[in-house]
Formats: sequence, structure tokens, C-alpha cells
Amino acid sequence: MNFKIEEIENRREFLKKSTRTLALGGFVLLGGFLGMRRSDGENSASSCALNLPCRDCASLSRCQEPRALPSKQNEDFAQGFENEKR
Amino acid sequence: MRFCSRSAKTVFLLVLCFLLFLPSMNLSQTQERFPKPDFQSGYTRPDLLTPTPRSQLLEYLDVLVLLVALALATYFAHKLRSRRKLFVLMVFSLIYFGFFRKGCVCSIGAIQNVGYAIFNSGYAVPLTVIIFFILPLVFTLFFGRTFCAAVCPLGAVQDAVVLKPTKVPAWLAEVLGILPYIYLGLAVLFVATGAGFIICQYDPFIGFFRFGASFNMMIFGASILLLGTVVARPYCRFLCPYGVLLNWMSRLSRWHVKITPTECNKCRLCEESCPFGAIKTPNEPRYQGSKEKTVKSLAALLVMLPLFIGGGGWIVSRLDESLSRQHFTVSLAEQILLEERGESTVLTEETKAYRASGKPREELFQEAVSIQEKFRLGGWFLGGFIGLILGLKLLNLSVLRRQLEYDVDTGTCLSCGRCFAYCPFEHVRLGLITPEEAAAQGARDPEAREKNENENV
Repeated sequence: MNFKIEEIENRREFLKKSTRTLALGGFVLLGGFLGMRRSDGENSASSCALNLPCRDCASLSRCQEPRALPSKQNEDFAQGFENEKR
Repeated sequence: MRFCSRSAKTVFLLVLCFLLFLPSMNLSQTQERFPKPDFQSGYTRPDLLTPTPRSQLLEYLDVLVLLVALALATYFAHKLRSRRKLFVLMVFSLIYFGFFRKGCVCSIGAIQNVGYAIFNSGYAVPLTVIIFFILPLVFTLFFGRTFCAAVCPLGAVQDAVVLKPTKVPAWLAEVLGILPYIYLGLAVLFVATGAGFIICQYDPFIGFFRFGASFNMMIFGASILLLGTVVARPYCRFLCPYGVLLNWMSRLSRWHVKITPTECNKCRLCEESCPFGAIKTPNEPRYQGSKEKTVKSLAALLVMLPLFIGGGGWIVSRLDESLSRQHFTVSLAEQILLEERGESTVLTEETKAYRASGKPREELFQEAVSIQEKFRLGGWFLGGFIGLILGLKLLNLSVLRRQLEYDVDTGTCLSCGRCFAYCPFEHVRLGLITPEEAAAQGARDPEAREKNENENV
């Protein structure tokens, strides 16, 4: 009976170890894949680019509405970041 | 609480209360990213609630602080087994990552950046955000959830207010335990469709960290903290989406904290020590009815698993309309449609700005329809995921596992170190009592003695 429990424990440990190695490999791949990616310019740097009302508005740059301010700032920030990188 | 004197905790709570109530004193600490634009229309410019961007160097400093904090938390939990040191580190993390860094960047919110980058090839997620997302997971993969113990500011603010924790019934904890999976799935669905970063949007404590948020969010945050005085860390246990990933990683952890530094004599002293209900008690699997019947019900659940997945997918995909309304483009298209039909008489700023942009309405509607389709497809995946989790939880409940001694549940244990002081062998390790005295602890407890005797028989 004890032998059986040991066997189960060994099997569990082996599965855990394998899954752990897989997970670690997955993180390395994910980190490498995302870290090596270069931006195409649109959304880079502005990590909170979403959820802004005028994100896709064509007249954003000349818009005077106060609610457009955060979007404009994000765009300016992204452009500034791109210029800095260059 | 042996390690943490009551008076020290009271002083800390008073300081925390002062910090939390600062927003009501209108001490706004938010700063502008750029000079104020010169508006001619007489508008009052709204206050910004986002923290100022930091230079690249300071962002790397944050990563270094995270790394050092994780290493220290692991050292304090595993090597020193010191609750007091973990508590001090927790206070530091609360001040640094919470109040000083204003809760941004945080590992929980980084889920969305990483998710958005996976689904949007044009988005380059900053390297520091990637590290903030991956580093705690890697640490958890080896040492358990030491990140939750003393590094996460959201966990720290809740841990600081735990006054009189009550035990949540196991069935309720199981049911509420599904919420983080739903929240994680929704967060991924929303970033995949470009609808928004809901984890940041509905972060209950960000308002406290930034000394300002909407009234509703402040109420939500205060309610969670109030609940946290009697139900330990409610957000971490029943909402945190990052906790789902940490739970998975912690189950695979190579080394995990243990209640006892040496052996368990089943004295039961630690049984009620965990406010998170993360201690597994010894048991002897007993089948209700015949073993064959149990195996049959297990097989039936396995067969039903695809049904759970399919059913869940079907149900959530039906919610595409209401879910997609959270996307700005869809809500704008709906608002424009309502205004055109005369069902909405008040023109909103968004619709006015859209009309001023000169973009054709058909383009907007087409885009809205395509987003709705994305939500329908995403709904299948989200529902399938929830169905799978539900099915696996039921399967897990049906599997009877032998537990020989008191040990932590590696998935839900937050490595906070509260249970260490309850183990008599910990006192032996610290040189406070002799091994003989520790061995006698179990014998002194009449219930434990009776239980041990029964087990020996």
C-alpha cells in the first residue's frame, strides 16, 4: 500500500516538474516574443491607450473638446516617445 | 498575532486611515503631462487622474525594487519564517508601489497590456510591463505566492485592515472562487476586442493610491476594505484575476512554505490560524456508498465536461450585444442611431465630436457590427473557459484525496506566515521550547489526543 502511495507521489511530482518546466519555457517565449516586438507606431508607449472616447477620431489633432485632451496627450506622448527612440 | 504587536498594528491602521481619507481633503496630487492647452470656449478643464509618466531609468528602478522585494519576501517566508519581517516589507510595498507609484504599473493590470499585445500586433508593450507581469509568476512557480504575501500593494492594503477574520463556509468560498476566472476571462475578452482595460477601470484601491477617483469607485474601494475587516483579503480571494494565474503557478511550485518547519504532530493548533481558509486538514478518504458508484459519478462528470464547455460558450455568446456596448465604437454607433431616430433628444459630446470629424456614419456602423461579431466569437471562448473551470471544480470536489497531516493548500496559500507561530515545532526552531515540550503540545490538546488515538487504532 505504501509502495502504491509512493508511486502516486512520484508520478505527481513528475507531472508537476514537467508542467513547471513547460510553464517556465512559456514565460521565456512570451517575454521574448513581446519584448522583441517593435512597434508599428500607432499604440506604442501609451500603455493606457484604450478606453478613450476619441481614440479613432480623424479630427483629434485639431479638436477643441476638453474630453479629447487625454487622447491628444496620449498621441503626443506616443509621438514624443517615437521621436526620442529615433 | 505573536510577531506583530497590537499597538504597532493600531498605529499603522491610523496612518492608513489618514492616507485613505486624504482624498476627501481635496489634496489632489495628480500632475499634468503637458502644458495646459489654451481653450477659447470657456470650458473648465477636468482634473487628470493618471500619474505622470516616468523616465525609462526610473521604470527600471521599479523593476529592480520589484525584484528585490520578491527576493526578500521569499527569504523572509522560506528561510527566516518571519511574519513580522513580511509585515514590514508589506508596509514598504504598500507605500512604494501603492502610494508613491500610485498603483501603476502593477502586475495585475499588466495582464491587460500583455493580453492586448498578444491580440494586437501593432502594440509594443513596454519591457518593464512585461517584467512586472512575468517576474511574480516565475517566483511563484518556484516559491509559492510570496508576491501576494508582501509585494502586491492591493493585497497589502487589505491585509492591513484584517481585524477579526471570520471563516467563509467552504461551499461559499468554492462558489465565490469562480468569480476571478470570470473576471480574468472578461478582462481578456475586453482587451482582445479593444473595448478597454476593465481591471484598471474597476480597481477598487487605485482611488486611494492616487488620492482621487470617482465617487462610486471610492465607495466600492471603501466597501471592500470594510468587508476586509471581517473577511480577510476579499479582493485577492474572490476577484483578483492575477490571483488565478498565481494560483495555477503556486500549485506547481518547487518549494512552498509549510506550516511546520520539521514534522506535523497533528496538534491542531494551526487549524484555525489561517484567515484565508488555506489549511488542509488530515483526512481519510471515505466513499459515500460504494466505490463503483463514486467512480461512475466521476466518469459521468468527465463525459459532461464538453457539455459544460459548449453550454457556457453558447450562453456567453448570446450576451454579445450587452457586452459589446462597453466598447466605445458600439456605444457611439448606438447613440448616433438613437439620436437619428429621435429617441434621444440630448446630443452627447461624443456624437457631436464624431459628426464634426466628418467620418461617414456607415463606416462607424460597419465597425460596430464587426466589433459585435468579435464579441460573439470571444463569448464562445469566454463561456467555454468558464464552463471548463466549473466542470473541473466539480471534478475536483468529486476526487477524494488522502491528506496525512496539516499542510497548506499550495494554490490558495498566500505565504503570509500567520500559521508559523501556531506550530510548536516552530517554537523549537526558535529555541523557545524543547522538542519534548513540543511533542507534548498535541497530547495536551484533548481533542487532538482523542483524534490521534483514534487514528492510531
